[in-house]
Amino acid sequence: MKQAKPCQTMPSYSILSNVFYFHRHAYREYPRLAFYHLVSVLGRILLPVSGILMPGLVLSMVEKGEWIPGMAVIALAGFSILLCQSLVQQVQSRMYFCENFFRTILLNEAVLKQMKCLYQYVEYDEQKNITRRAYQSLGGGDTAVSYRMLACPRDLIVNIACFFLYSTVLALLHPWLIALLLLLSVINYAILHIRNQWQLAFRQEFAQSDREIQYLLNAFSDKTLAKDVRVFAMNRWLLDFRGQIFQKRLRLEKKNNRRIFFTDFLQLLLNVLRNGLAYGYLIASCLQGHITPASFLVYFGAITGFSSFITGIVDTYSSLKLANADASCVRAHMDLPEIGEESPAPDALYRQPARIEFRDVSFSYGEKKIYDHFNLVIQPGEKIALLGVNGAGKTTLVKLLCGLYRPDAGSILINGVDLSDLQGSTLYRLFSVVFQDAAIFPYPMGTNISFQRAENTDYEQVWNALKDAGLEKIFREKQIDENSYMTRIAFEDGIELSGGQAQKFLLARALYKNGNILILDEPTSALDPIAESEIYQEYVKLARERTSLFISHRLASTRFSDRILFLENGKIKEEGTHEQLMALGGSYAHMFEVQSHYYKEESEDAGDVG
Amino acid sequence: MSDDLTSKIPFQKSFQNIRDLLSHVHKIDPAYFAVNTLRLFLDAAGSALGMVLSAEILERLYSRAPREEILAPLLLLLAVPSLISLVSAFLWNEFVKPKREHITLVYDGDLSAKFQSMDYSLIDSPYVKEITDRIDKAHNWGGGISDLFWKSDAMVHGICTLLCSGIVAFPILKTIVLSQSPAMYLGFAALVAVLYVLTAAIARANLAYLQNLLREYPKEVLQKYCSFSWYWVSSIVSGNYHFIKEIHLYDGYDLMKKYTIDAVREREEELPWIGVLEKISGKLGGLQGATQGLMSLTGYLLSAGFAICGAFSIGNVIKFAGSLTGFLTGFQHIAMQYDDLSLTGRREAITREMLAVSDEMYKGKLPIEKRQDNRYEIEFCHVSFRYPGTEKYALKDFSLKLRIGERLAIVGMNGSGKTTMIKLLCRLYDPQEGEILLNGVDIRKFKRDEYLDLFSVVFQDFKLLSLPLGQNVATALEVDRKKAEDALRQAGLEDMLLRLPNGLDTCLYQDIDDDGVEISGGEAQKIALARALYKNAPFVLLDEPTASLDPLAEYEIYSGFDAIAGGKTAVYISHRLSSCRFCQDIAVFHEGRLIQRGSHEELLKDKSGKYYEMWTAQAQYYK
Repeated sequence: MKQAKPCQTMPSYSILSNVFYFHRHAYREYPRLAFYHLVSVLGRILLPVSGILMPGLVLSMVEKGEWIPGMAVIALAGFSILLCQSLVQQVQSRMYFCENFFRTILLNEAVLKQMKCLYQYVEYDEQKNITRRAYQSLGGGDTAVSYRMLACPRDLIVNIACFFLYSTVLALLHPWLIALLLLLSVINYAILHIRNQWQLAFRQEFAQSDREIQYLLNAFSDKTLAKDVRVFAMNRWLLDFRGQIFQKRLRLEKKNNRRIFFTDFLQLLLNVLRNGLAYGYLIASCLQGHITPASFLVYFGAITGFSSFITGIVDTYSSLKLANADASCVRAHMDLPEIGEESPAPDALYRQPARIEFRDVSFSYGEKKIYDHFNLVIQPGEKIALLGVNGAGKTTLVKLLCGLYRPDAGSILINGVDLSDLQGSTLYRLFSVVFQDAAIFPYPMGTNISFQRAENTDYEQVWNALKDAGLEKIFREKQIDENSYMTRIAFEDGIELSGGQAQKFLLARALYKNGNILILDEPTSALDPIAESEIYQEYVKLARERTSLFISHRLASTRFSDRILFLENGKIKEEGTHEQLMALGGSYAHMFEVQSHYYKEESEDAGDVG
Repeated sequence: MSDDLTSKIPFQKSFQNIRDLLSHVHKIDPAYFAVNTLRLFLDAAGSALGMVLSAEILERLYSRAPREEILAPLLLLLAVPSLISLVSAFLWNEFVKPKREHITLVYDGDLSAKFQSMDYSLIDSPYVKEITDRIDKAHNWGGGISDLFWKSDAMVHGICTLLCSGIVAFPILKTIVLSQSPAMYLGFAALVAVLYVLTAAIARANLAYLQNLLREYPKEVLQKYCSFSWYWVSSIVSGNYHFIKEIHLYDGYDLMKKYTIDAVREREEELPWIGVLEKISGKLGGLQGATQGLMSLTGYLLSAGFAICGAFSIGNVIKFAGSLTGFLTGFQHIAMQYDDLSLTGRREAITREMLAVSDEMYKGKLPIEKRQDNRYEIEFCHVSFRYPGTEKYALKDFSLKLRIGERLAIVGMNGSGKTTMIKLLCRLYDPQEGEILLNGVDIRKFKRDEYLDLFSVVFQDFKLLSLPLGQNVATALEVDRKKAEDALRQAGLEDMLLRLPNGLDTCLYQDIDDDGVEISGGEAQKIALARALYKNAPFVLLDEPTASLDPLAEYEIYSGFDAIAGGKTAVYISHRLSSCRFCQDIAVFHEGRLIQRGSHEELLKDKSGKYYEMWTAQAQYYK
């Protein structure tokens, strides 16, 4: 299978398709939201219009001077506005909660999506940035991308509709007037465009400043930093750094605001010019009797409101464009290819113990070539110790074997079955793996071991696994049962395990799964000598009749392996039994000498003493 | 819980909260409120003036005044409100916005900085946790200092509008008072009564809304429908996505679904909180809309009525209608905003509670005698210590003497008290019983800052910041570059120093700089070591400094240890017993006590001892 490389640049979806995407999802979640949106848009177009018409109406009623009918008309008009206003505001208040819940749903879907997409996308830097941005843009109420993608189109429709509505009304007054207004609008647009360009130029600096400030705030509230801060008197440093970035931010803010003020000033001048001309014309026509004072008032209101629509259109459009960049990240994240459904596999695949073969495998991580035509056969039931300095590619090998990464070329076979045709859990079922950076989840203890819902968990099996991993006794003593929440992430009284216990817990998870192939990646680095030795003995028991792989910096692990593979730069540099490799006197022998140096010398000394 | 934000509190208390919050902000920036109030007043005055001037024009149009007489108000209308809004825009951009930014930064910054300035033992104390918890809950739906800005703006704006439109509407109010018509009085009183009832209804709806907004799920519901989506998101965003491997390999998708989207949906189904909020806030919105409509209707009806009666000219109808509406709206705003503002005051009171958490640990008064010969001696005398909130002693009746200039290795099982001893030594905690002596004097008597200068420590879970390498070594903005480079070289990072494009100025990691370097666990450990070297303190404490290193890198550190420790007193904790061979002196800890001490050879002779057991457990594989 050819490696599908994720896109290298920020994704781009058209605004229209993103607007459609968010609305479709929102209406699917909340069908009534469509009604709310409709009412809100209509209300926001009509209410300001009624606000302009109303004074005119009142004036003409007063002009007529008739008590009862005049007051009745005003009351009727005012009351219908009241009803309309009440409805619109009710709908707008309701909308907020629907849209906010919709955001929560989207965020949850995004998280779940990441658990299901092909694993290679999880780790690629470009994709990580896109995904991070997708998550960040789904946080926070009014600034959330979902909120903006729903609100901006509405605002745009309202502003455009009002612009045309008012233009038409004013055009009826005099065609030249509207020509003038349109011309001034174009200039206004130009000013706003310049302002947006300026702000765009600052956006990067603001984003950087936000990033620094956010990082600093997190560092300050980071409890794991607290010991270092006190012993190295780092608080001074942090506060100095804080002073620096705050200063920088304020300077940036001022620079930006001065530009905004300048364009504000230009816009104001333009407004004075437009109002002066338009009012002058209106007054003149009123004095000449072309229009009544009442309609003068209506036109007057229309002109005053006019400029806000241009500003509204330009501003809304540019925020829509900004929101669209975030929305595209959400889309790109949601469109990631997923691991396939479980598919039937040949029975041979699950034959126990398994035979593993890497045939001519090549693999690059980003630009870096890790494996180039790599070949390896692991015989059924063989116990392999995988060694190499940090960064030699040991964990990558494991990830390739498990199907988390897919080779660029060549194939990996288990019991002669090519893995590239296999998807998802068909393949994953084969392995029991404990990774170096494995985590205990904030789930209850039982499901934390089984990784299945409570109803699908065999609790007897859970306790057996705990027993085998050497945790049962201490759990029973501390009265930890299958429903106790692990970690303190969710609940204050959650169970925290020490480093050694955590390692054993992860081992229990691997045992519960009981996969055909056992892989342990650095399971002993945090353990004391006795616990370390216990894990070794446990491992020997578990690996019986199973193909297994053990990665460790503690070379002790090689003593009970059938074969040692010494990796260097993506190649097997040395392989064989401990004795063979020691006789060879190569890298392995050197590494073993280095580590065992002091132990060995000791045993000789001890011999002398004894 | 002492204050869950939904219970009622007396007026005085909530007034006090608001006042304290305002004075807190005032302390950060004394000029903010004055400038911002001026700006808001100008805005209100500008729109009132616009209204008056356009009414004047209308008036003159009705009276068919000559063109010249209309010109004056027209010019004023064009010039004055524009000028006012220019000044207001200037104030906003030049002062108010930057000041807000500044206040927000300092306000939020001080809160998070508090964690690094309080006693270490307080960070995890139930007291501080409870406050943190309340802060989180209070800020669940909005809150924070920006809330104060918007709400106090609305309040001040309400007052200014009330003032300005009050002045404009004065004649109509006077007309009512002077009319001496009972019908007029009665009508106006009825109107005020209706408005009062509506305002009260809004206030009630608002309160119900706020209370529901701040309501919490009962613990059983939370347990049943636990959702972790935020936890996962923040993990992934901060770069920890490794757990996803487990989801894949252990088929954990379905369980994940249960704790994310299913939990959210099912919880909403069982306790439709969002649904309830939607209804309540809809009701509130509807009431507010209706009241606004009613107020402008009132303005129009009254002014039109008076005008038809001939109480004033037609041209003034709009002016009075507008100002009357403004007057009523301003009034209602003030009444309404009070609730919101008092909630903000209450929320932020918790923040101030946190800022006021005072340290418990005695900071000491004695200065530390500066000794060139580093003849400092430490002794633990019958020290017992339990972590706050635990039953079990981490150290029990523990005595130990550090010999000057010697190297002590500490070994023991996980949880035997090794790290605890380091923490006590660094005064992160004080022991409950017994004392620790420096040259015969209880360490609590020394000035803590000076005392801490005596120690260079590499903790097991040390942290480096995503800032320039040099600063990380020097733990300060100013870096003694030569000293820093020497320290890095000594820690075995010569290669890295040569490799980095900007040397000491290269940022670690990429949290704030895309050109930052990613470093391996081993390199990080060496940088932490360099940091300890740079400090050049008389005591060097190393807690498992080689756990994540491969054997070759580990060996490098071991062999460099002599150079690192130099003539200093050094304490070395490790699970790799071979490392003990560098130390003349080994202490074996077990269950919070010192059980064996001596040289490697001596300890090994005791075949029933813990040391022998651990040694053979590890050494058997290397024979």
